[in-house]
Amino acid sequence: MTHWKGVDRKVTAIALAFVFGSLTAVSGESEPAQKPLRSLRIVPSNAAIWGAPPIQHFVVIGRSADGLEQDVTSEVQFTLSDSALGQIDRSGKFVARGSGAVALTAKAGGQTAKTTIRIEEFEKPRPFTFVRDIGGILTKRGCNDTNCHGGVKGRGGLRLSIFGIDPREDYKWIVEGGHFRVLTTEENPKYSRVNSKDPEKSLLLLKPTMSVAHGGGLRLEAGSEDYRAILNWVREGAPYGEEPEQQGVRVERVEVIPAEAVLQEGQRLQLVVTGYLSNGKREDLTEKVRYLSNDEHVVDVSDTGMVTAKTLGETHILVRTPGHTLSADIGVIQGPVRHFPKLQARNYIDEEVLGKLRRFHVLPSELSGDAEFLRRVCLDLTGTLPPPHRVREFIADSNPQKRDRLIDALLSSPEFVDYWSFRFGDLLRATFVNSLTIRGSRAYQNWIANSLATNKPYDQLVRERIAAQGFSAPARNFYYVAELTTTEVLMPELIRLFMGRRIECAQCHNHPFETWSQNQYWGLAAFFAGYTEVRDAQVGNGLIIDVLGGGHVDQPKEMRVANPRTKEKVDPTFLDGTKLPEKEWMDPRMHLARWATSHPYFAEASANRVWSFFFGRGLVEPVDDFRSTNPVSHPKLLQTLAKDFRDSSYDLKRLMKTIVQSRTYQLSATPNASNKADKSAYSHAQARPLEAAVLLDAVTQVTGSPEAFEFHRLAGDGAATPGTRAIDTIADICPSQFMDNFGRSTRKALPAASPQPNLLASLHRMAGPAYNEKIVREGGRLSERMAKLVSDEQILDEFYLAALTRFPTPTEKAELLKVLSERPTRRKDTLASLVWAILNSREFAYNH
Amino acid sequence: MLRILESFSFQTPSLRAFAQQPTLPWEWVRYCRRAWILALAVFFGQHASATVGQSLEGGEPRLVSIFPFVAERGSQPDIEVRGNWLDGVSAVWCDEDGMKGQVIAVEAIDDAVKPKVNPLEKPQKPVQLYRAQIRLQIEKQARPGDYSLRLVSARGISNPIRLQVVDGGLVLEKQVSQAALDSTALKLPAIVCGKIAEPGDVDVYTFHASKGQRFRFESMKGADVPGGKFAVELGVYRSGGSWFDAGRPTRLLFEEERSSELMAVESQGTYRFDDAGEYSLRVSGVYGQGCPDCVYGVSVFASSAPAGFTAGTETAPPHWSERKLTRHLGSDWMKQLAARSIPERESASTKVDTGEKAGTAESAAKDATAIAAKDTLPQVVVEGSPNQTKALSLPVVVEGAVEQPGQIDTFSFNVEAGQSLAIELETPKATLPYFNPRIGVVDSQNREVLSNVHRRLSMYNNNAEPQVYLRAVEPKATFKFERDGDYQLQIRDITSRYGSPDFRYRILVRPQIPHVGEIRVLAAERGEGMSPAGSELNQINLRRQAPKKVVLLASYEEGFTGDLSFAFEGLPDGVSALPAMQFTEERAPLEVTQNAEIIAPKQQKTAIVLVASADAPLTREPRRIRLFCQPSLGGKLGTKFHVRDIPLMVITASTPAAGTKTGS
Repeated sequence: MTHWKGVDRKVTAIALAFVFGSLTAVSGESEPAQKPLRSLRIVPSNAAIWGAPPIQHFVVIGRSADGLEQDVTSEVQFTLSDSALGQIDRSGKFVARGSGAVALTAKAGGQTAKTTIRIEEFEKPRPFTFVRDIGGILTKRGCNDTNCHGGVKGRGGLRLSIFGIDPREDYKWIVEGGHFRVLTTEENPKYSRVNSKDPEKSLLLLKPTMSVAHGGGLRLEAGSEDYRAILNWVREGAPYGEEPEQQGVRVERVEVIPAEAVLQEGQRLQLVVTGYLSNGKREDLTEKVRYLSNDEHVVDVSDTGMVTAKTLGETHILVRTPGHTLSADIGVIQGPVRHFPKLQARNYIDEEVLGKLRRFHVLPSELSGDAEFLRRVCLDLTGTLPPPHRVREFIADSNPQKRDRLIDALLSSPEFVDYWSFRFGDLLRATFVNSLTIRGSRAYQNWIANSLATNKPYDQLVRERIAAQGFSAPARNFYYVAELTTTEVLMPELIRLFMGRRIECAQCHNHPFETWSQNQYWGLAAFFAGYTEVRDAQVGNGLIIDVLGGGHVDQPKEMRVANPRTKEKVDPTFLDGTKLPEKEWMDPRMHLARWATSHPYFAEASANRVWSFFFGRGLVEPVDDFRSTNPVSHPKLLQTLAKDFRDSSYDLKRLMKTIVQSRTYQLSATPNASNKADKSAYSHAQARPLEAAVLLDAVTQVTGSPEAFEFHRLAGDGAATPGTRAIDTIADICPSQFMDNFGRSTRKALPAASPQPNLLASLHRMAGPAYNEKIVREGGRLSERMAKLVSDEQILDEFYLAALTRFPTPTEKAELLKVLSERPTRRKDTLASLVWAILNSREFAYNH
Repeated sequence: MLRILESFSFQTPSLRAFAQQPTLPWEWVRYCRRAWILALAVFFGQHASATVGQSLEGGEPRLVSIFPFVAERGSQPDIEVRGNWLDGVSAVWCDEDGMKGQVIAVEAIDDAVKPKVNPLEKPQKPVQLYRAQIRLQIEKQARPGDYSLRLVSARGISNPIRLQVVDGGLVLEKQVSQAALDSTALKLPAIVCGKIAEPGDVDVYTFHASKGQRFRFESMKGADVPGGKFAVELGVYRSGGSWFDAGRPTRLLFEEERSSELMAVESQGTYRFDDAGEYSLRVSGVYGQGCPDCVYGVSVFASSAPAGFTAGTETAPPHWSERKLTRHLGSDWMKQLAARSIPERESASTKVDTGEKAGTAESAAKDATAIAAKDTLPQVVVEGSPNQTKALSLPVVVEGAVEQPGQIDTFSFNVEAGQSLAIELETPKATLPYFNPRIGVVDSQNREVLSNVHRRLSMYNNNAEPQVYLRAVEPKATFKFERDGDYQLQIRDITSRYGSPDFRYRILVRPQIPHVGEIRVLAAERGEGMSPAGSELNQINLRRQAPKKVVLLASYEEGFTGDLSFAFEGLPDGVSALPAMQFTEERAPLEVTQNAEIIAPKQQKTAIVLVASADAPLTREPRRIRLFCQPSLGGKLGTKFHVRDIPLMVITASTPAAGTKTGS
């Protein structure tokens, strides 16, 4: 069967060289950076210092002629209008010596910048608070990080709340000692970390200074300012002090400057962090916060907030202080773009994306060609390759509106329903298990398809899924996948899928990264506690009801969840702590569904997920992992998308149309020198591997050899009706070695990530039936064309159009025709080798 | 032929006359009034081995499928019946009047599509499949509805298989469409009957619809497919519509599918055609199911009613059945119950003998008699006042509808301490699983004292802890009120989400009437005959000196405590019915009903052994034997009542096909 592959290595190699190469070509070059300064500014402007210690950090930003901004603090000369009020060093650190107002001037590169500093009560020490004075040190020093004492179980017997979000609990652990419990109420002996009799022997000091062994290494220099602060606190009896709220100086908001910056490789930038207090004053937190780089390959950051650009790319610097996490978006570029092209924004997506590209000096790729766009949009909207005659037709069409018309045609096609049923089938887990009847499985699958066919508002679809009740609701069949729909599974899945947050960790303990608590987890889980099945032998699976309601003799007491740690029964409680009134317990899931779909999280998480389908990554990535430590790449864009989605009554098709109509979506996948390192700014289309089912359908489509699916005996031993596509099938009902090898979702859990290349898939490509038998099968495209005595050139065109949605380039055609002409007696084998090579190319196996 | 005929004992002159006609080689069937239809075997050639007196290897005739399972009145359809042990079938038997039939041919067949082998299951010994061609003559005056057909051979009488008789408009798939995706034209309204003979098959019917026409498509229930997994899927399509493939039809959504509020139990839906044109109906098996026994019927008719629930169209059961939501609680319902009890004068004496318990039965029987004397029960009609509590005077029938989601209709009544009531529920329109009426009774402290929800206790859950779960809503609940006072009867849908004007209910609240409830006649042993243990016994094929046990399972309703006597009438010569005891190996139940005293009757089981003597004459035709029951209590007899009829044949001794299973 596969003998032709060995014979025609040459044609294979030639073809592969062509199709591989087309994805890696880079066009254009950006210009080198220009250094002369055009302007200068001091940040923060109009600083106000209140209380002691009277410190404020300043950064001087210079703008060069190319429009690029850079930190020139170390190069400027500072002068103060009244040196009696304070002094400033070369790093920009100002220390006040008196109250009043002083003007600060900075000069560099022939440019001058000025600002005013107001100083109040510079000698007045702030009353002690544990959260700020001790918790702040622990946060800054990384003691309460997740990989240290802020982890789930703490470390070395000491557990601190993550980033100091629970100072009361931290205080108890340090002063009194504590227990860590997950699913037990057993308690071990407690050990205090402070020694009031001999403060310098406190473990809180001995450990971080490495005076005794410390797994976390050296965190504190003996004698340093922070060391002395802790020592003095212990000497004074280790008080908790007042809460900041009681003092009226609670940090309400934290700001980092600059929040967005572009650096060239090797450049440095000092971040300045300001806390806004509840009494209207400000506090410089630059030296009191913890800095972390989300990608240390791109940028590094010091303990004092100095950022160093390392390699091309974009990442965020996380800034943490007790109770607050924020970030600065840092891009590293090769050089500034002097002449950013004037590109016509087609909608708000382009305004946001192109605006950021301009700010980050990243040139977007060219608009995709018609063939490239056609293939991409067909695959993205319908999971289907355009047939050759449609490719010819589209390329030849000179109507400037042809792309929009195509989008409309695809959105209204039955293939759109097929494909998005498949995609939402993965998300909504349209699967099959023994506890579900085949009719029920089919009904759930059909419900998804029908919802898409009617363009049901997405929030309605979600409400129907969450709250399905009775017999009439097809989505109830989801709840028969018994072992997959326990309370512990359902609730976190809902939060992940529809609200974009991961709350699973809080099942056993308070969430390690975020502020999700166990009480919040089980309070939400309680909404699912009462759902149960009432059976009916006549119809197989019966109906789903909720029996949380009290007072009925048929209400099983077991249908309440309990916090596994406290063993206490938990009432249905929303995330904000509001309990569902008992009179509403008859229909708790409907209340949960309404709450979930009206929560701001829902619109942004949904829009982000839809966005990710078209770009290969979300504005927040992973799409179901929104958190303060995983910042959104384009905050305003996500906000606008979410608002647009919400305002359109959650019209899925409209959202998709908006996305694919944008210039951003229609950019070429061919990168330029400026954007080749970009993975998150959407400067060019990213190649994405086809899903297993889509790939199999594509192979079937190109070869013209239908796949013979057979259903599992549990589903009645059926065989697929003619025209059944891989995207119509469910893993547990319709076995397929091909799709298993290429990573199709079993739908037993939410899909975690896109399928990754693996050995089995590679072997299947080389020797599997889908890539070999289908090509040469009688009745397939190749044999049919050969039977019609079609010329080699026409066959070449046909397969290029069918598989790659383009004609072969003149070079490709010439080379391949030459090879074919050299093998007149082995024409079929040679052509088969060519098709095999095309199907094995990245250009075919990827959407780009 | 004459020799064989002479040994027959005909019950109707017409049949005898018919049998004497020289109509070889066909075998003729003739019906008898009131469920006696018989066809004669007059077939010499290939069926000689199946004649009386010869020993037969294997089991009794077993019918698996019938095609078509729909036929028109006044027609003479040819029908294909598939099954096991059909070699030698020579006559057609119908349980009801209205048709006659004849066996045309029988042949052993070998299905091209073999069932897949599950490696986890023990391999099954295949049983030869047969196909019998029969021709029916359906009278023009035949009642539309369900008929039960059986085949008869020297092996005995088969199980019944359902044939549905309709007025007209029937289109058979096999007449017009054999190959997959070959379409045939329909003129609506119509009934199509076809077969998804192979996995993946799709039957296509094209039709024209005018603008604004509204048609309802309903899958008709056919015979159960072996394995029970065949489910029909319907789709209505319009041609054209895909940018990718101009030939791809576009599926149109039924109105129910659009709303997502409704999902049919069977495949069904309504579509309003906004444009005149050609459309197609596609019939397939869910997930590509198909098999030689996978038959379907689809009824397509104009529908002016809005899409919504359709009440069950099941025909009344042939036997007494009082625990169904669809039974009619008519004005004579309590009379019917009393007829299955001990009359008052007899039960009065039980007070002396059995004390308080008997006294309860006595008072109940008195009430029953009193009520039974009335022709009509008082009724309360609820008319759109769900928030008002209506006072009831017992006994009473209340009617109403749960029109709105979450609506609770409430009625109040007063009881005396120790009073025992039965609350019966009927759903005259929408019923399970759409309308799931939950009734509850609360006391003056607003504590619920009973409901009609069936609760079970199971040991199965993740933590291996006992777990209570809800099983079903029941059509009846009984309760003895320990305290006198005012109580409230509440009814709602068990969900909080659904309501409809079709959610109509009738509730009968009455004194309890101790009586004999449903009596099931069950096959005795697994593997004997075709009926696995626990299933209804629909026929008896009795071999000489091979006793056959019949298990009778009787429900003792509402505190009935009497004895039940059973007797068969009409047994053939040489056949005796003997009372029997049986060994039962009780196992601890895995599930326990929590509130059995409220929602379930007590049940008693007994057995009768039927035995044919060594010289019992073989029966050439089935004999209908009649089972009667007579209750007794305190030495007094109640009225004898009919339980059911069962066809019986005395057949030649043969080797039972122990352990064999069906092969289709």
